[in-house]
Amino acid sequence: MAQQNPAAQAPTKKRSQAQEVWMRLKKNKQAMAGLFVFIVICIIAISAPLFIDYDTQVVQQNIPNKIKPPSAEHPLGTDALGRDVMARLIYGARISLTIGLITAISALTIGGLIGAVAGFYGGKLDDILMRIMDIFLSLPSMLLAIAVIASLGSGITNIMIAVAVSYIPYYARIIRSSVLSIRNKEYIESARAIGTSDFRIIMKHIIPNAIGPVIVQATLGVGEIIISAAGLSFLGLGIEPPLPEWGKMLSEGKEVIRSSPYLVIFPGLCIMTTVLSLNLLGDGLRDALDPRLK
Amino acid sequence: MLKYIAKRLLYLIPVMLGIIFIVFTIMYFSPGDPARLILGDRAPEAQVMELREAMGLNDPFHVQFFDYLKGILHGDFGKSYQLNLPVWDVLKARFPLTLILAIMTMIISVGIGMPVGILSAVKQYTAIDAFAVVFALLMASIPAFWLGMLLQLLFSLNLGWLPSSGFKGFEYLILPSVTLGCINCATIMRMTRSSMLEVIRQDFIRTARAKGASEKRVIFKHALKNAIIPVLTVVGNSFGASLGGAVVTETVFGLPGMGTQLVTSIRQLDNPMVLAGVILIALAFCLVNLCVDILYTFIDPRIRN
Repeated sequence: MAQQNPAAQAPTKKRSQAQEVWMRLKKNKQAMAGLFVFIVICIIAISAPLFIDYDTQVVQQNIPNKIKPPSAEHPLGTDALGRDVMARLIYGARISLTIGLITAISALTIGGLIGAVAGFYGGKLDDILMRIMDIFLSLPSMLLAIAVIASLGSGITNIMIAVAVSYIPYYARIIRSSVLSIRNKEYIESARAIGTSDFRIIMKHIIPNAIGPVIVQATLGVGEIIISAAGLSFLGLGIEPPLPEWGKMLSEGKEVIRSSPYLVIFPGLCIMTTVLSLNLLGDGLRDALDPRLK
Repeated sequence: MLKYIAKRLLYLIPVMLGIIFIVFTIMYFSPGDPARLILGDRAPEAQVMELREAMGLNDPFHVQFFDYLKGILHGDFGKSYQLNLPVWDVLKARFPLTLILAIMTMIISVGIGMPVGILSAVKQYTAIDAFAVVFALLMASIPAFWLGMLLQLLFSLNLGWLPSSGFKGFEYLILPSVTLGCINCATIMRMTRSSMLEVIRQDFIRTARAKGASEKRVIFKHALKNAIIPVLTVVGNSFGASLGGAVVTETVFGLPGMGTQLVTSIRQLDNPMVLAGVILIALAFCLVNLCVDILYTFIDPRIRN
């Protein structure tokens, strides 16, 4: 009976599994701390325009006020152009989080689709797609991103494309191996037996069931992407001034590292805290999804 | 064994061709006219057109690609637009430094990552394990260039023990390789730990202990040998990461390697330089992965088949 209607059975099973994962995740203190910190960072980033004026506090230069150490008026000091470091860091969170999330989601969608198609159909198509992905994977990801940036030019969108391109093959591989492991399961066979189209099988049955390991990798991936994008901006290949991106702020701080180390320390701390929170959450999710690994 | 190595070497050819094709295609679509770049803004249009024709830039894509490929086979990577020198001559002078940096990084990361990973698995839930786990987590969350700057701040600017930037001798490589080493060591440590933990729980380890093998023998002879394959994969990948990471780290420490050259060339739209730099690093990475694949077969002869 159960096999006759897999479509109806799948959602309930998925929900209960999700609930179970959440229950396990809730017990993991580090993962919860990560989730909490990440949510706080997101709230600060989203609500930034409510308490900081972008034009006057983040972008406008105020040379007489330049390189002031932390004080009551400027809790984290001012940069080489007299701008408030804290205001810039808070706005920087908006940029880094946007880059991290959008890039991870796009890379995941494209890579996931390639991986799902390759794993589902197998044979020649799988061979061709995976050989292409292998070639992309044999380029160190930072270098691939640099080559794409060299070709496209700098800018936020181009950074996102460059980093996404280097992550697509990685996600394609993970989804593919996940799909391979469920492709021959009985519920897929029964879906096929009742005449479900391939597209529907992939979208409704394969992807939801293969998504577990991918969610873990995506959570960890957002952190890695934030670091990669900051690295590109640090090299001067990403964000154009006066946008307050963390990597860019670090490269500006490097110029005055001797006299004002705080200009290097604070932006780095922001990147580290954000990525650390995502790593804690990602590790917790992995343990929650597969308790055997713990 | 030789047959396996030959097969793997042959497999490298299509992979390298694929890499060259992909990077060439990416760079082909880059904006800017190289002829105009070489001649400057004031050069008359006719002269620019002439140079374009002479450089083969008016040829169709496939002709340009095969010409480039033919050049590479003869050791000719083209001429730098900015320096007016053969690309190979410039890169030849810079590649060794990047390679030495990557090798030093690997020595540090494998030398610390593997033993600490093993120890933390064997002594799970002890202080050493906790330290290793926290260290690995922190290093996975820190950008290499920031760690580099912090080390620079502490060891060269504050304590004055090591030089902060430039390259005049071996001591200039210590901070950069420690920076990259710390980051890579975290990945290797994590993988060694989890791979060892998985193996240690298996029946054959209990059997080895039951028959009275010493703890040292159980760990190194039985557990490590079975746990090391995924670790080796990560070591291979870390080598690639350290070659890629070298680009950023070299910039932090002002090292005159491939990385700084790549960044300068990108800013100057010097495509032949970028193209050759990326291809060369990719080749080094592929060769390291090939060595890793061959090492697998020594550890586990079943892989050969």
